[in-house]
Amino acid sequence: MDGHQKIIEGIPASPGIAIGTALKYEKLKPKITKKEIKEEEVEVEIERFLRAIEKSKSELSKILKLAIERIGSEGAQIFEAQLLMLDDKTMIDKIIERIKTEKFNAESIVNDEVEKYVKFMQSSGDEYLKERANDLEDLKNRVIRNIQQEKWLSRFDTSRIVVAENLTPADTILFSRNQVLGYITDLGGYTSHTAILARALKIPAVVGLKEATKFIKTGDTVILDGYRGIVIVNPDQSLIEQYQEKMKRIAELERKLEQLKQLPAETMDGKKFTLLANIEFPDEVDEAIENGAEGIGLFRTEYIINNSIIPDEDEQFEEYLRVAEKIYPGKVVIRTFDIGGDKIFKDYHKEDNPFLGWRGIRIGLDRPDILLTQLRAILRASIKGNVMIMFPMVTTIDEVREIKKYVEIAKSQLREKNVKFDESIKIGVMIEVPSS
Amino acid sequence: MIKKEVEIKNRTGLHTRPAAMLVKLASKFKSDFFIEKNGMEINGKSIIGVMSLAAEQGSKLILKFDGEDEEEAAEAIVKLFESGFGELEELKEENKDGRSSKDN
Repeated sequence: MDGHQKIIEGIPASPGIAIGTALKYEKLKPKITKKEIKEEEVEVEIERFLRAIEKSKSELSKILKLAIERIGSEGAQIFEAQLLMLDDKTMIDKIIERIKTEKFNAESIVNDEVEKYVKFMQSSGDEYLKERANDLEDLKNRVIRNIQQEKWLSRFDTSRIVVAENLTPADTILFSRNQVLGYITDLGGYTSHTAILARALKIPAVVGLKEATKFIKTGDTVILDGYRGIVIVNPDQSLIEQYQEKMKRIAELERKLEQLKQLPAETMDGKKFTLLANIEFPDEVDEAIENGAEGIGLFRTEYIINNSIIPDEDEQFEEYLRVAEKIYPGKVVIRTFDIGGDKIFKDYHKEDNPFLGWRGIRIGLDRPDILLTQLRAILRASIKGNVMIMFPMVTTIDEVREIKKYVEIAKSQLREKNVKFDESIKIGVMIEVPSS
Repeated sequence: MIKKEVEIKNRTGLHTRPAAMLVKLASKFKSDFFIEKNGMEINGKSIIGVMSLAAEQGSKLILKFDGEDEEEAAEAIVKLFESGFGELEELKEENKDGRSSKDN
């Protein structure tokens, strides 16, 4: 096997390392053939359709129950939404009506009728609705599969790393009943369903690998590094050993930390200090609190940028507010975008060493529109007085002066609109560049 | 037929939970209930239809009621929109959080 090692880079979606055997999951899209039916077959088709709805309901209720057990009711909401959609009487009546009048088989009518709404939702610019389009499409496939009385594999006997082009939320939850070591997908990003559910399930995952299913076969040995977002196919023995060593160290560290977390944060001679957590994603706040953190020392905001798109002020505000509210009365230090310019503006700016050049606050100062939007969003989230702002990669005192100027501009923009925020918000900078 | 214009007040818009509340209430009445937004019309008794409207906070919708109990239906449903789908608590929060709102 040595010599065929291949490293594929993707997006780190859920932390952790897994070494194991790949199981490629290819979900067959249901085959839909449009078939004319005779008058006397109409009742049979309607019966097939209604039975499929009932079957789908019972499947989804089970998934919902399992999801609530595993990840809590908040994360399970998506299955509740799917169950509600299955109860859509208007849609059901419409489909029955069309079977009666058009006289085609049930699956072709279901496909045609539901697809109209899927397409409509997909074409909207609304991110929320695009996700709902996926849910509806997933639901449609479930009903059609049940009309055709096919089964989807969701159980396997030994522990496996699941490799798929994409996983639906239901797949992700159902697989977790098996020994799933990790999830690898071609599609998806940090905020996609699979990623969120994998984090909630504490199963390592790398998503957005684009061509993972092309390079990985069932039975291949795979290393999944959920910290770095890479997958190594058919790794050399020496690399496997390195990773096994790393897993051992992490497990050992976690075991030690587990013992420590209940102890107060103080030194041997009784001096108390505050223990803060660093997070990269709002969801991590709960875990930080659970593990004894009194506040968030660093909230990295880069995760918000998705495919080079920076969300607007309102959207950013909601994210920052969520963290500020969860950690309250603890404090949170929100760091402005610290990302290489090449990551945000692919064509706008090219340079040889992005690490030392145009990144961090330098982008912010060159693109005040981006900086001001983020500052206003952070300021609005500071209403309870538990938010501080941190600026990355600051080199000179002039930059500090300029930063302060922009903070004042953002503040006055909000004042003009009578929007309240913490007037005495604290700001800080990260000194991390050699030239500073 | 009765036509009413409403504006979405709650922060999250007609997402899953409010959509479910709306459909549930509308289904109690015999009258047909349609919602129009930017020239698109959907059946207000269909959750899939309501969700696909993507009605966000501030969106204006035209509600159409047609049938024997159209007046009662119109009254109840307009009230639900005005109450912000029980998210009024959230509305108050928004004001505190510095969001502009007409109630301020």
